Amino acid sequence: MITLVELPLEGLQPLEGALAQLGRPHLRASRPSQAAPEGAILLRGSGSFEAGCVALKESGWWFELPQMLASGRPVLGLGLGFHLLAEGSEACPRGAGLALLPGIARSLGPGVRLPHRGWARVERCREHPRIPDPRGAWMFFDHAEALDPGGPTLLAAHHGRPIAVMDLQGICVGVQADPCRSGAFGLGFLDRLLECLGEAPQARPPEALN
Amino acid sequence: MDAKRIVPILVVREGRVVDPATGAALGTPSLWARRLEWQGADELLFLASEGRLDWITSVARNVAIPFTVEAPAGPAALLALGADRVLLPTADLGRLRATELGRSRVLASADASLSREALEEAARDGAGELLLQAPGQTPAWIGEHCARLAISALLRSSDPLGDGEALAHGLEGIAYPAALGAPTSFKKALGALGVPLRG
Repeated sequence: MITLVELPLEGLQPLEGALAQLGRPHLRASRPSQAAPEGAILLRGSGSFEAGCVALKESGWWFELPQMLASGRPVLGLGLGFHLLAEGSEACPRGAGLALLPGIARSLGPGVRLPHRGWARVERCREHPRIPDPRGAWMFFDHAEALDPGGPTLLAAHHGRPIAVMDLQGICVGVQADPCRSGAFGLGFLDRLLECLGEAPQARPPEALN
Repeated sequence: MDAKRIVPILVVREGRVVDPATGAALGTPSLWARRLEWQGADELLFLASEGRLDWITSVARNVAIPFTVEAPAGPAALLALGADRVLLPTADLGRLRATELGRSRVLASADASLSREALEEAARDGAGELLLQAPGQTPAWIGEHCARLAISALLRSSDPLGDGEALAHGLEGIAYPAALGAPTSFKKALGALGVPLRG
């Protein structure tokens, strides 16, 4: 079962809706003790990098996430969650991230409007047997900092400069675009990514719209 | 280059999408959101005038494109219900402490005739983007005005094809009443003008 890290002031509804549509059982956990006994951990993150670090430390996730990863549980960071898994962010020069992924999130500016909010094309940087080539598919972005593409980068986009869209190192993954807001392609991408991380869908009845 | 955005506007009363002219109920916000998503909308804007807001959570769970909400409730409450972003008047950004919400969560409405300095002040007050109204202005004027702004802007338009020329300049998108037509129809016509669009 997938565990969604629940931080203060964070709206998990888009992620929960996407996981429900994809047939992925999941639960929210504001503290590590509430996490599912096994399965992937999803860290979405919203607000500022500094506030995210403080929230992770105060809740205990800061200390548990590295141990969970080391024990073999996949960890997926989305958006700000990607930056929190990395070494740090220029948005908070005195702080540091979890360093579970290499790199520092750098400001996209100057020279471009901030935040970067819109649909950008995503391209493949290197092949992966289970992550298909997006072939310029559109994904939705909403951020002011981003990691530079590097060794772990599978997918990249461009906004003023090249930006890492998906970094993969073992079973730790960071994704800059919002797959829950990137249309049908985004949901399919999240579906494939979760399968890669060992989270298989379960059959469930359709969820009625109300 | 990012795609320019086509943003249908829906009016919600008592938890139902309504025809703004007649007030007739047209269906649930979730149903309309999914329909417009399938029809190529890049984002959605909901304008709600009533207190019932549980539909926001349903939309958040069931739509795979971003959406913004204007409603008679505190912005933090709307975001907690699942809205990706809130629409606030530029004049109220300070009073509503928009800087505490995060610029990505705030769309500020403003008159395009304001000075560049006044419009960019919205960014300092917490807005990540502007929704401009520009009655009587030509698309060329709108586009050139937006091109000089350090903050990105959408145009609230009742003539998305007529105002489409502004997308070729600095405007990032057009928000229009959904009743005017499906996004695909506007995208087809605007794409023929060379506007970079998704889909």
